[in-house]
Amino acid sequence: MKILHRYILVISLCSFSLSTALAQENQGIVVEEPLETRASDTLVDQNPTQKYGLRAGIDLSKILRTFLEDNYEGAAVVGDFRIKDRYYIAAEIGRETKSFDEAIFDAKIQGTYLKGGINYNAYNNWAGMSNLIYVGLHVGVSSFKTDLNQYTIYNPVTFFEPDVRTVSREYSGLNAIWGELQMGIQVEVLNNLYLGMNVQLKRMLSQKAPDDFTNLYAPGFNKITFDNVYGAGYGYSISYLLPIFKK
Amino acid sequence: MLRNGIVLILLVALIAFSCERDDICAASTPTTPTLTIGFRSNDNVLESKPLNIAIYNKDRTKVIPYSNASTINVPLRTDTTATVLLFEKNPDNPDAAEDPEDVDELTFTYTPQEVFISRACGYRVIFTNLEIRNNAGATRWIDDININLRTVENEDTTQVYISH
Repeated sequence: MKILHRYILVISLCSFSLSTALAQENQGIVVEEPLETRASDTLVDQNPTQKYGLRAGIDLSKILRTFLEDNYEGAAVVGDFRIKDRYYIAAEIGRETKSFDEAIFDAKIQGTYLKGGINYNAYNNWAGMSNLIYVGLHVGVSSFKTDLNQYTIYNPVTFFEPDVRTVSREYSGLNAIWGELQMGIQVEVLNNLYLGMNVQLKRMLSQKAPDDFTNLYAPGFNKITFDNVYGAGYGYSISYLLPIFKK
Repeated sequence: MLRNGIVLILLVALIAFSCERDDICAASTPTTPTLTIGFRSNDNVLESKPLNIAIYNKDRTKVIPYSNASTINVPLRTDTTATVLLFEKNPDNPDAAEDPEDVDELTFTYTPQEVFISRACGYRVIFTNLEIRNNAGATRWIDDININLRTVENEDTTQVYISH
């Protein structure tokens, strides 16, 4: 049920961002015209109008990887909301399935994640521009399950044939919580349409692993290495800014 | 500034992904252990007595040779509860004056136990309730088998002593 709820939330957010994108396109162009004339007719340092609003989009890298990688499926919705001149509340919700077909085991992890935090825009825009180079501090939570399908007993002596065990063990109710430092850019390529990319450095805070297995991967966190709390990730996004007010 | 930002992000990405560790099972990690067998003199069970020996599987397709060894390591099957191994003394010298009938067949029985080690090493098997039977009959070269420890979980301890 929980997973179904998350599906519905993801789908509704997707369709919301899509519909706002279509609805806002014409109005956006009207807004841009006075800004352009102002930028060209004056050298006086004055505060140009800044757009505040909800920027919502999708993670392109996850869609691309779903098509390119056999052992990966994923989708995520990203969004942020400008609360002060340089500060944004940001969030991401997604779902990932990752398979590991390695020499010693064959396992599949699937689940959902939610990330949220604050982004700080360090970029000084020229008049009328609203690009971002930001750093962000986020917290992520992930809920997932692991299916262990096959494993081979590790034996350095090859005297007997390998002991391959085919099983169908399901470890459900697993979770992970981590802190994440994000660095990224958002570039306005068309009016209110942004392309973004970011890198993420993560530190695991807590995780629930199976008793007789380990967490190989957590959706949103990526690969979990043994005895190591750090992880890394990246994202490419396309998003649309729905302006709510201007300052 | 925007271009600098992109370069900086790519740099951080490069560092982040190059720092990701490879998962390779270190040789020092205890994995599935072999059985450690020590050879003792039949005159004095406290005195070690090295020998030339070859260990075969039952159909003689695999061999582990040892020369002048007082301690050897033999593998046990992890997928069943018994392993049959042929112990051949003086393998290159079947007509040796001592022990001309030089192959003894030993059956090791035990309870295999699966234990998870780590992401890189996966699972290993340890063995408990070890018992050994010599099937060679009257022509054996092994005089006596003493089990020192019935649990095989590492290779630091000699679990079995064979006197000859």
